[in-house]
Amino acid sequence: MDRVLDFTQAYSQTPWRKQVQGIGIFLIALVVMLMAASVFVSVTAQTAALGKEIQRYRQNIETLEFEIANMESQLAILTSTSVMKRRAIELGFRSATSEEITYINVPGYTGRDHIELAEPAQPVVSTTLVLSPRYTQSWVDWLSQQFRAPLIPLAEVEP
Amino acid sequence: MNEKHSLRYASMGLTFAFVGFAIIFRLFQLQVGSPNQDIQVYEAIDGKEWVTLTPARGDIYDRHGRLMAGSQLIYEVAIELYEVLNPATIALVTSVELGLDYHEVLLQASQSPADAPSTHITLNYFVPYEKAQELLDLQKALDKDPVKAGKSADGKLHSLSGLVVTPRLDRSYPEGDLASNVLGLVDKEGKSHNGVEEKLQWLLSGVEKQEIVSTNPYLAMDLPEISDGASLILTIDREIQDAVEEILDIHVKKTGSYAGSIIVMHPRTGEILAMASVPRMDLSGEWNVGETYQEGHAFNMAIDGYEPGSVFKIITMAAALDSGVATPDTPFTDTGGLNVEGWTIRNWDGGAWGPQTMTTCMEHSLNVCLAYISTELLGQTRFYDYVKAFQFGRPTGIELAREYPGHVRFNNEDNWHLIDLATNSFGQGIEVTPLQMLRAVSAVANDGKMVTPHILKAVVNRGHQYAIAPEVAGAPISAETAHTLSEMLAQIVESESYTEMPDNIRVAGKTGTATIYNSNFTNASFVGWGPVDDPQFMVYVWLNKPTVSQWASLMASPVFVDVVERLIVLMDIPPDHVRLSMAAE
Repeated sequence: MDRVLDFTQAYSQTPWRKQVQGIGIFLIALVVMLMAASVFVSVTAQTAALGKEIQRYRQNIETLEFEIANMESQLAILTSTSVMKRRAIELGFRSATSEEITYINVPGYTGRDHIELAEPAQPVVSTTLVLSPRYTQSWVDWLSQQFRAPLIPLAEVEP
Repeated sequence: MNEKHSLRYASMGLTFAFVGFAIIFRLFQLQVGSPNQDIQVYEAIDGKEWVTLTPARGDIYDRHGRLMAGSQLIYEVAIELYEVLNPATIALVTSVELGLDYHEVLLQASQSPADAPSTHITLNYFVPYEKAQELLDLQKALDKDPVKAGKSADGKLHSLSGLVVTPRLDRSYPEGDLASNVLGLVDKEGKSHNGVEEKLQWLLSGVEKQEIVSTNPYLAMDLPEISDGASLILTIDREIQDAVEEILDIHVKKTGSYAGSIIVMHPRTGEILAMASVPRMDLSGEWNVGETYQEGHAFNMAIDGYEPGSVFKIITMAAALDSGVATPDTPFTDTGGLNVEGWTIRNWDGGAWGPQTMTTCMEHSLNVCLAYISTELLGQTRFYDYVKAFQFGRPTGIELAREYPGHVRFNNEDNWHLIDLATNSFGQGIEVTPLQMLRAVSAVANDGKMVTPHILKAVVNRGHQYAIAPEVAGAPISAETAHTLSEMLAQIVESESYTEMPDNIRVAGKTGTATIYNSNFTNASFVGWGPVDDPQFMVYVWLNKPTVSQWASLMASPVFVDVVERLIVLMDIPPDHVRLSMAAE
C-alpha cells in the first residue's frame, strides 16, 4: 500500500504546478475571449460606419434628385417661349410669313422625330443583399435577431 | 439551517421569482399584445420610425418634350419646440430674413412642448432657395461660435437650435400662363385643380407610402422603394399654343369680348395641338383665382357650355345630306319666316332671301331654311338620331377635369317642344362645348369618321413610354356626305366677302352667331379646317359677348384667318400649289 502511495506521489503534479496550469488555462481563455471581443467590436464598428455612410449617401441622392428637378425647371424657365421670343426679337429676328418660305422636297424626310422621354433600359441592380443573412450574420447577430423579431412581421402592420 | 436563514432564502426566492415572472409577463405582452403598441415599443428601443414616403410628382411636357410643369426646390422653415434653446434668436432671424412678425414668432417659439398643440410649428412653407441658404449659413455660424454672437436681452446665448429648414419639391410652371387652362394647377397644400393636373392626378402623383424606416446603421440596406409619379407628354405644341394664345389675346381685346377660346386639333388623330382660353392665369408667380376669373368665366372656356349658333347648321345639313332628304342643289324658297307652333322663325337679318339651294342656304346662313330642313325634311326622330350619333350631350372624355357635358333636350323628354326642333337646327336652345362641336365637325373633315379629341400623347412611367392611340368616336355620316358637305363649306368660305381668307391654302368652314338669352350680347364662333383635300388642322374659335360687333363673320372669321396664317408656317404646310406639285413629282 505504501508502495502505491509512493508511486502516486512520485508521478503526481506538485501543487504549485497545478496552480500555474490553472492560471495559464484561465489566461489563455481570457486572451481568446478578448481577441474574439475585439474582432467583434472592430467588425461591428466598421459595419456601423458603413451603414452611416450608406445613410448619408441616400440623403445625398435625395438632395441631388431635388437639385436636378430644380435645375430642369430653371433650364425650362430660361428656354421658355416668352424668354426665347424676347431674345429672338432682341437679336433682330421675327416670325416668317408663309410667302417667305421656300419648300423643297427632301426624299425620306418625314418631319420631326417622335419624342422619347423614357430613359434607356438600365441593368437591374438589386438593392437588397444577394446572400441570405444566414451566410453572413454572426451567431450574436442571429441570437439578437431571434430575440428582437416580433411575432407579426412589420411589413404587414398597417400604421 | 436556522429560521433566520430560511427567511432570507425565502425572501430571495420570492424576489427572483417576481422578477422572473415580470420578465415572462412582459415577453408575453410584447408577443401577444396589440401590434401598434408593440411597434411603438419596437421603435423606441430599436431606432425605427414611421415615415411617409411621398413620391416626386411627374412632369408634364409638350409634344416635343419641352417642360411645361415640373418641380422646383423650396424650403419649409419650422420650429421644433423640443430643440429650441433661445426663442428670441429664432424670432429675430425669421423676422429679418423672412419678414415674419417678431412677436408672433417669439410667442410660438416660447411655448412649452408639453402644452403646445403641436411641437412642430411651420413658419413658412415656401421659402426660396437663397433665403433658405442664408438661414442655414447663420445657423452654422451660430453653432460654430455661439459666444461670438453674444446674448439676447434675456441673457441667453444666441442660438438657432430648433429652427428647422427642410428642402422639398414644389410644382413649377416654367411657361407662366402658357396653356395654364390645359395644365391646371397644384396649390400650396399639394391639391390639384382643373386641367390635366386634376384629371390625371392619380397618374402624376404616384402612390404615397407609409413605411417603418430603420435609423439603425446596421439595417441601412432595408430602404423601401417607392415609384415616382408618371410623367405626361401632351399633344400640345408649345409654339402653336403660344401663337394661338397671342392671336386670341389680341382679338379678345380688339373685339371687346368678355372671354374666348381657340382650339386647334388634328382632324385625323384628334390630337389637340393648341387650346387657348381667355381669361387664363399666370402660374409662375403668386396667383389668385378670384382676381383672374369673374362671373361666367370658366377655367378653360374650350370645355365650357354655350349655345353655338349657326356652326351647328353643319350638323343639320350633314343629317339632311346623309339621310338623302336633300342634296347641295335642292331648292328652297325663303319667305323670311317659318311658323312653328305659333312661333315664327326668322333669318339673322329678318329678310326674305327668295329662291335658294341648300348650298346658298348655308352660304347665307338662313335660319328659316335650316328650320325647314329639320321640321319638314328630316323630322324629329331622324334629326335627334343624328344629334345622338354626333354625340352631343355627352362629354368627349378628354383628359381635362371639369369638362361640361353639354345639354340637349331630346324629343322623348317631357319638356321638349316642336319649336326646339326648329331652333336646334341653327344651334339655339342647345348647349354644347367648343370641343364637342369640334369633335362632331371632325366627321365632315375626316371622311365621315368622328375622332375622339385627346390631349395626352404618351405616359412615361417606370422607364417605359406608353403612347396613347388615336380613337374613332363614331361614323355618324358616310364619307360621301362628308366630302359633299366639305366642298359646300369650302365654297362658302371662298364666297366670304367680309374677311379675306387665306389664298394659298383652301379651307372649309362656317361662322356662327348665337344670341345670348335675355341679353343683347352674342356668341361669335367659327369652325374651319384645311387643306380641304387633305386636312391637317381644324380650328374652332369662340368669342363670348363681343362688343364691337355682334356678328361672327366680323369678329370670329378674322381670328380663324390669323390662326391659319400661323399654322401654315408652324406646321410646315406648303401652299396648295406647292404641295400638289410636290405630290405629283
